[in-house]
Amino acid sequence: MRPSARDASRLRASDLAALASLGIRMRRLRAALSALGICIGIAAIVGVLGITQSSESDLVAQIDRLGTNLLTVQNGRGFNGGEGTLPLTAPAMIGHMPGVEHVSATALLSPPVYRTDQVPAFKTGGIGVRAADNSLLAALDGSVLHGTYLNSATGQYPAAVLGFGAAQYLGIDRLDTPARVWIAGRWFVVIGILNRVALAPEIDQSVLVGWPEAESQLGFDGYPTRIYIRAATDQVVAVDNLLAATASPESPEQVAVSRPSDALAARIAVVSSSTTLVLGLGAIALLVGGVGIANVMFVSVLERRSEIGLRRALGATRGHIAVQFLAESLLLSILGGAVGVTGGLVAAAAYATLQGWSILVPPLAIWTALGATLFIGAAAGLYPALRAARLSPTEALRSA
Amino acid sequence: MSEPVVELRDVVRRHPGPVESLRGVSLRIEPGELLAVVGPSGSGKTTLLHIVGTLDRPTSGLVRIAGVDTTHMTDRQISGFRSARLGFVFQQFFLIEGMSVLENVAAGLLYRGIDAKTRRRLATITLERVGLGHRLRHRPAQLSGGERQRTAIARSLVGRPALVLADEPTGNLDSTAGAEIIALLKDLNCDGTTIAVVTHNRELAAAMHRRIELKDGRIEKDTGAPISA
Repeated sequence: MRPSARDASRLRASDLAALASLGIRMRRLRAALSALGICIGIAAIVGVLGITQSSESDLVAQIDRLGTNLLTVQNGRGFNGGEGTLPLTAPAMIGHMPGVEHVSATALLSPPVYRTDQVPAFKTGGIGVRAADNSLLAALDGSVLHGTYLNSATGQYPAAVLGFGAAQYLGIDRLDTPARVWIAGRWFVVIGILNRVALAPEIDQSVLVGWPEAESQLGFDGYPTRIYIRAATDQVVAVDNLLAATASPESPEQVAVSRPSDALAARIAVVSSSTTLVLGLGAIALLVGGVGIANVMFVSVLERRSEIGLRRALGATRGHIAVQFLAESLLLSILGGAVGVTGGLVAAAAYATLQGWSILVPPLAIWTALGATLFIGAAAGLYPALRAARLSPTEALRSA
Repeated sequence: MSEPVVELRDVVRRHPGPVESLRGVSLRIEPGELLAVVGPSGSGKTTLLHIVGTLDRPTSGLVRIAGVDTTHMTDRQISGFRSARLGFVFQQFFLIEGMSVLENVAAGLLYRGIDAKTRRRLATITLERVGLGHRLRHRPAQLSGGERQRTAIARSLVGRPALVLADEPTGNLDSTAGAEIIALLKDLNCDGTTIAVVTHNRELAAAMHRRIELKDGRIEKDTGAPISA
């Protein structure tokens, strides 16, 4: 009789899964603890990437909503929190530029504003009075929370519209009962409160009065200090390039043009860079987790010498022994990784919900995390598995 | 006459260090034999069992098991050969605690590429044969010593091996359980299973049909195969 194909040692793939889980089933607590490191590392990575992505997509959505086609023009030589003046002709000149859809001029005025005439003079709370024209909301894409905005009629009377932050500071949150504010020694009736204007926070902190009223009652000289321009989306860059020269042909170098949406875009970069640190920590947790699994696998191989000897006697090849322990290590790591991914997703979802963001986890993060667990499981299990395979059957059987 | 189950010729096994070794052993075991290898500690009994069981390779000499020269086989070949032709019973039983009695016995067929359902069916039949048909779902820890060894014997038999090798099968058992195991081995031999036992136990050795006495790595006395075998 010769050794025939019938005698070949074979292990079915379906049996390998049961073999791989045997050690884990026998020592559940130890398995759970050894997989904890991987679990924490993966949870941190998936969670952080999920939170970052959700927050980024929220910022992107904000930018999309607010538009990147708002430009502002100021005198570049503002001082002490004040704003320098722009030429009288600037709004009209800008209005004639091709690609400009809306222009609105505002001017920061010097008189402080108070809730009543009893408030001490120094308590201005950083609220400024601003002369504004009728097209401000169109240019800013802003809206009114309560009441109405200024128009040609109300602009000629002592009427005021409050920015969102100014209304909060002055303690006027509704207009059911008539409200007034005290500006430069006279009362102004509050006719409206604006919603928050994300791209122009200075408007939030302002009390707006009509251009004609400002000129007649507040000593306003008519020179604008800040002009908002809404350009056609495809011509923003062209308008941007010509704005300074158009606003002030004599001294364009004094004109500062800015694009408020750039500030939001910069925040995205900040969010992205701060995740790098946490990702690094997650990677360290993964490394420690891998070492933990390797450690447990070594102990497992030592403890299960007699099982190894028995399996060799039952006909397992060295390869079968190696594959069994390698599969166990992979399974441990995958279990840890799976729990970690779930935990990370839950954390990211909870945080995003809390912030009112839409939940967004990059699929790449999940695949990378699972790939990392596979790699770690294989790397951690390889040497213990080879040690187990190298054990001679007689040695393994003698040990018990 | 049919081919011998075991044929050793001038087998020498030297170990580094003070481990027992063989110094030229020649031996034939015919199908259907029931024999005991006896001898003092260090006489080479366990080494002989390992060589015959293909768990160890001789330093020199010829080893033919079931007609096949196993000395130059690769690990894969020899593992497959072991799984198909040999059964092992150990003093410490070596049952796997995480698995039921049935699964432990079915594990005797694990490395033969047989599907799980067939393995369980054959294991059930074999467990019934050794009188453990009522213990299939139990864990090894729930069994008495005698039942554990019977489980281990069932595991060694489930693949219908040409030879069952038992290393001190009664060594961890009280005398009652030991006697049961001896009776079972004799009973299995009556069914045609070839069994070789390595033992210190006089009672066990006396129950076997043939006794080979080892001393210092050589066969000192061999009662020989009974003519009837």
